[in-house]
Amino acid sequence: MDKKQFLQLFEQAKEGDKLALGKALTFIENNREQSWEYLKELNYPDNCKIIGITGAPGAGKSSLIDKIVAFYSDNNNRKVAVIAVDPSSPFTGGAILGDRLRMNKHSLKDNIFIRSVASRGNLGGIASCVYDMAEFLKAVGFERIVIETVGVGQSEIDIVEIADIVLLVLTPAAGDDIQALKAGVMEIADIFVVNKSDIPGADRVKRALESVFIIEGINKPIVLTSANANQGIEELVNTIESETSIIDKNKKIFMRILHSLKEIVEDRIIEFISNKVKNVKISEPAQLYKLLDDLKNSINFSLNKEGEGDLL
Amino acid sequence: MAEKTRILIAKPGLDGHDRGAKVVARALRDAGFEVIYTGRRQTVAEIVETAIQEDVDAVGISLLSGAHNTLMPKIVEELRKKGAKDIVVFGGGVIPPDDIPYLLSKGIAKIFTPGTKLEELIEFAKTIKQLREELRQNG
Repeated sequence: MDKKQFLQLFEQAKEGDKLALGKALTFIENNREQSWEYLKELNYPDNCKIIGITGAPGAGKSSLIDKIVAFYSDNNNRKVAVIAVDPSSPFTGGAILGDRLRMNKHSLKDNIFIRSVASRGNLGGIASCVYDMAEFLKAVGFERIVIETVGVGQSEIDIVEIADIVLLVLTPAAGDDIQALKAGVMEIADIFVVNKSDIPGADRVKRALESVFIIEGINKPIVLTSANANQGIEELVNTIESETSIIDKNKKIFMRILHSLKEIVEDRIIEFISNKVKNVKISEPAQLYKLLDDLKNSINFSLNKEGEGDLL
Repeated sequence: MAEKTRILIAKPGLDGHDRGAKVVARALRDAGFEVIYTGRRQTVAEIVETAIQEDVDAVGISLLSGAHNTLMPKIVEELRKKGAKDIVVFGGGVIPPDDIPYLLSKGIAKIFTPGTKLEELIEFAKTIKQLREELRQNG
């Protein structure tokens, strides 16, 4: 697709053409480097907030998004987009994308757009193209963009770099209090959501969090919700809105651009090396050793030029 | 990297039997396809809108309720009406052999009946990109 075609899809998408929007997102998903060039041409309104939602599988992320999106579109009359990421199989590359199942009744609303994305081997909880897809949706005029991460639990850190605010969804009866102390996901969250508050134990999770906060000197909001019973959604949306009113927009945008660039470089290096490895026949292990030596030499060569010594 | 084939597996109407759809979804996943599954009891409008927003290459309709002669052609018709002229539509379920020629004449690319080997389905799925290209060219 050339730039003219891409910009034409953009104009159509801006007018509310979901077919064009769907096609543009596919292009971004499959042609990161090229679309990155095109995305530079667009204007990005600053009334958009990107909301990241993470948490363990089964915590109720999709169901919660269903209710958040409904609240934004029905009560606040906002244009809302959802990018829901599910894992790709590391063995076959295939994926079942099922997040949409919980929110598909919104598909028919004019001001809502939902897109499922497979993680395609990215380990940070979201596919690398999600950054650019979110930027495009922003340029198209969506005012709130909700990104649902894979939800593997403790390595979901990429979302921080793209989202203006990150929600961590916890539930009662999901491990003991020590789970709340584990490093990583705790630090990235801006709002802690205790979902499934209609079942016993939600208060206990809240108290456990509060005691951790006291020890660590953290002051972050905790909101109890039940997506199932549609409780606490208004409070959650209000908390998202008040917590995002003080975001340093420029810093976020700058970080996102750097991250996008980093991803492209990383993708290129990984693809280059994995292609080399794949071409080696396992019947000839000597070739593998030679490849390793070659890689060592070339990496050490480039590092030595910088005067930083050997890496491998 | 080669572009992934994205397939929507959909169950329209009042049909609660989704084991078949799930088996198909898993088989396609294990063969390397990206499958979007939206659950049971979807309306034609919801299925069409999902296919458009997800920009899938194909929609696979699972139907065991007997409504295939109504719902399957309706999905093709609505997709084309909305401008999605190149999305491939295929179907599966308890469909009498006598109904198949009618469905094919209405733009359904392929019908799978009970007893179909999963390998056969996967062989078909591998041709979806090509079928989409043909639809695109024939307008």
